[in-house]
Amino acid sequence: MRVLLFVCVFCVAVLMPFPFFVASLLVYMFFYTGLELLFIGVCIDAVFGASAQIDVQYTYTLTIGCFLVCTQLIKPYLKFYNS
Amino acid sequence: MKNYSSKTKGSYLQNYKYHQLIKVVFFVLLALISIRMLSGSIAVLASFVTTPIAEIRTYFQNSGAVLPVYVRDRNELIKSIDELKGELASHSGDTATIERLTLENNELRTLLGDHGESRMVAGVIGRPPESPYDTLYLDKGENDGIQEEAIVYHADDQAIGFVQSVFPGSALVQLFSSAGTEFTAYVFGPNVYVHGYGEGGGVIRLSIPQGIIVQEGNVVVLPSVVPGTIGVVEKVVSVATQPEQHAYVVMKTPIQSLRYVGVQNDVATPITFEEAQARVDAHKSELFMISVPEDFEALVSTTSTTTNEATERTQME
Repeated sequence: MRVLLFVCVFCVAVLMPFPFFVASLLVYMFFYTGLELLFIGVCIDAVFGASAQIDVQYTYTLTIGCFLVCTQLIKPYLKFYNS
Repeated sequence: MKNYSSKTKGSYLQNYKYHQLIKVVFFVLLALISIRMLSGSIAVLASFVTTPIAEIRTYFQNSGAVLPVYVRDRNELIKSIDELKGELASHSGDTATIERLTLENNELRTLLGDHGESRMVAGVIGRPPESPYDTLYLDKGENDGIQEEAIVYHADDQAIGFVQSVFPGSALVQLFSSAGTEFTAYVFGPNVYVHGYGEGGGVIRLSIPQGIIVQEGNVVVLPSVVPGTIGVVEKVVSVATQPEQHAYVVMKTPIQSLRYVGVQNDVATPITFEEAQARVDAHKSELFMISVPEDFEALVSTTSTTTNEATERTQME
C-alpha cells in the first residue's frame, strides 16, 4: 500500500500541476512519516529545476522538507497518533 | 502518581518530537546538498523514471491504439451513444480520424521548416502547467541527436525556447516564456530593441521606455535567431508615472496545445549587433512578401511584359 501510494505521488509530481502535488503530499504524510518523499523532490528538482531561477530551483525538495518538519511538529499532539 | 505519569508522557513526546525533527532536517539538508553537488548525475538517472511516466501519459492522451482510444473516449462515447446511432457514430469517427491525420501531416510538414536549415521533429510529452518549472519535456534526446542550446520551434518560424538539458531518451526545453528567462527582442512598429522577460504560463513581458508607442498586434521577433518570431503584443500596460511601460506577448498557439515541435539540429551561437540588425531587416522584408501561386505569377509577368511592349510602342510612335 505504501509503495503504491508513493508511486502515485511520484506520478502526480511529474504529470500534474504543483497544487495537486501538494495535496497528494498531505495525503501521504497523513499516513506515513514520508522521508522517502525527499527522493521525489530530489528527482524532480534535478531533472526539471535546472532551467529555473536559483531562488525557485529547489521548490519541490524544500516544499517536501517544510511539510515533513511541520508534520513532525504536529503529529505528536494529534490524538489520532497517540491512541 | 498522576503527576509522574504526565511528566513521563510529556518527556516522551518531547524526545520523540526532537528525535524525529533532527532526523527530518538532516535528510532535507542531505537532499539539498545532493542536488547541488550531483545535479547532473541525478538528473540523468531520474530521467529514466520521469521519461516513461510522461510517455505513458502522452500515449494515453494521443495514441490511436485501441486501449488509449477506449480510455480517452469512453466518457465521450457514452454521451455520443445517447445522441447518435451506431452507423452515424462510426462514420463521424472515420471522418474525424482522416481530419486528424491530415492536420497532423500538415503540422509535421510545417515543423520541418521551409527555410533550409535542418530540423528534427520531437513529440511533446510534458507541457505547462502539468510539467514542473514551466518546461517542455520532449520524447527525443541525446540518442536521437538533440543537442543542448538548440532552438525549438513551433510551426514554421515560431521560436518557443531552447534545449536546456539533454538526457539519453528525452530533452528538457526552457521556454522563452518560462519565469526567469531573459532575452533581447525586437518590436516591429516602434522598431526598437527591448528586453524580454518570461513570466510563466506562456506569457512574455517586454519592458519598453515610456514615450515609445507600442500597439497591440505589433510583431515581436528574436533577432539572435533565424527565423525567430516570438509572437504579437496582446496587451500594453502603461502608467504615466512609471519610467517603463510593459507589453505582454503571447504565442500564436497556446503552449498547452503543443503536440510536436521542431528542434534545430544546429546549436544557437551568440551574434553581434550588426548581424542581429541584418536579420531584423531580412525579417522585415519577409513580412511583406506573399507567396504567389505559379498561375498568378505567370499572369503578372505577362501583364508586365504587355505593358512594357505597349510603352515601347508608344515611345517609338
